[in-house]
Amino acid sequence: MVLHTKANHRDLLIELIRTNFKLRYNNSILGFFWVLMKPFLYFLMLFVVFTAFRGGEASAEYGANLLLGIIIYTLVNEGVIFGMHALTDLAGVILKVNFPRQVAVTSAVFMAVVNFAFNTVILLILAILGSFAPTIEGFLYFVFILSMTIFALYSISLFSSILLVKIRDLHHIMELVMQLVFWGSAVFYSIDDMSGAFGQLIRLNPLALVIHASRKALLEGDIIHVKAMIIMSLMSLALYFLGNLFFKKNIKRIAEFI
Amino acid sequence: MDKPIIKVDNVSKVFEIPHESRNTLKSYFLHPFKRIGKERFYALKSVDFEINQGDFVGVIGRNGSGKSTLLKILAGIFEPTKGKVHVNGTLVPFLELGVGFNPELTGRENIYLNGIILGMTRKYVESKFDEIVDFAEIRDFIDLQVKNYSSGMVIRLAFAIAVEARADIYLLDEVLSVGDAGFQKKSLEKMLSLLSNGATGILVSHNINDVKKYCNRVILLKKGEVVFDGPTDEGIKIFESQMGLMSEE
Repeated sequence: MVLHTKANHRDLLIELIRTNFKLRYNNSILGFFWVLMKPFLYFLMLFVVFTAFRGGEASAEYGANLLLGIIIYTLVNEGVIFGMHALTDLAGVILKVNFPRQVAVTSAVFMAVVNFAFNTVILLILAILGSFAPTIEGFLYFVFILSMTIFALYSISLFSSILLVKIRDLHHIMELVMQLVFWGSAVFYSIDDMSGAFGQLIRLNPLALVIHASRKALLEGDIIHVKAMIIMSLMSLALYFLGNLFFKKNIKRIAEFI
Repeated sequence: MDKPIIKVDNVSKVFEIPHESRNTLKSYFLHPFKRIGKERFYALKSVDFEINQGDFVGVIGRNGSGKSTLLKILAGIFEPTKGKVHVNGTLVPFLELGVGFNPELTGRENIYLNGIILGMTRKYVESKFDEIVDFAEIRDFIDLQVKNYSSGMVIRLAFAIAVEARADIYLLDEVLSVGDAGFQKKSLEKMLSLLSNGATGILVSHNINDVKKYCNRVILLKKGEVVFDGPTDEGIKIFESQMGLMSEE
């Protein structure tokens, strides 16, 4: 037989995702249902709290916006954290076997995408309940934004997975950064409500624009922030090329540091 | 003349060992311009050799002589600091068997994961599944989490998976003496049958009897340098005389 073929790389990617998934929810009573439960419970909590802040007026529109914001933020948060740990989580294997390390990064980011795919079930339920009906253009634009976001997450992971091996406290720093990103990404509020210097600052946050554009596209069929999304796509592409160079340069000696 | 399946061309490996560790941001921020001294440790120095297809080569030397580093360079885990390694075939490393296993997964799940990490396709692992389980003698425990296995069971399973890779080259780091006497005999027979079918083996072992018995050639390393490369008996004599001299010293 021939080892390390393209078919093997594909199987390795699937097996690593499958293993990650099993291990993450192993020994827990609700198991994989936590994938759905976590963002949903988070949504309920924020919905109750912010509905109270908004004067107790619970609207389906606010619910749909909030849920979509949470699901996209969860994708980005998990993509950043899983991607960063892609190499350190496989340290034992990296020291003993030479396999294409990039597959480890791909599988980690993919894991966040799989979780996202499950979470969209909640969105579908919302659609069936009649809260929104996306247009074809809006849906396609949402798919474009999503693809660009996932690509950007992968590109960031090419840097962060290597950096974590060398600077271990990056893990704690990123947890704090992602908390900050949560508050500054218009997850539980809308960019449209923000004005002044703070509003300007929020509009500089790419994730805030991604969430805003996704909401408008999917829930209202409006296509906005096109220029910003194109710029972000080009930046993601540049990040990918730089990340690839950085990863290839540093991965050769990673077993010495891990 | 036999075509070399492995060519190690003037390979050196240097590990830079910092006098103090610098893997936190605090250490970078508090002393951004501080130069941290590094010790340069030569694990391998200008190592040169060729291995032909079908050879069973023993790599011997004292602890710290560079044997495991050499194997890791051949396996592609470490990159040489200088020189080049040419490998003309597929290679399976038997380094610390079972280390890549996940204790939370069952034996069945680890067979697939480990086999695929070693380079096999899922379909191939599926076709070899029964052979692996039977060879490892763990059929009754296959759906048990590996954390509940004895160390012998883990090693048997890891060996059974790795031999099914059917590679051209096997890198063996102290693996011929794993498990109980019965399994040692079985694993050795399996390995010898693979080698008799044209596979190439490189064995790192402290067990000189194993090297004497199975290897047709020996590479003797001392402080990262090849001090002998040739017939097994001659190499072992030199090694034993070195050991004798060292114990007299």
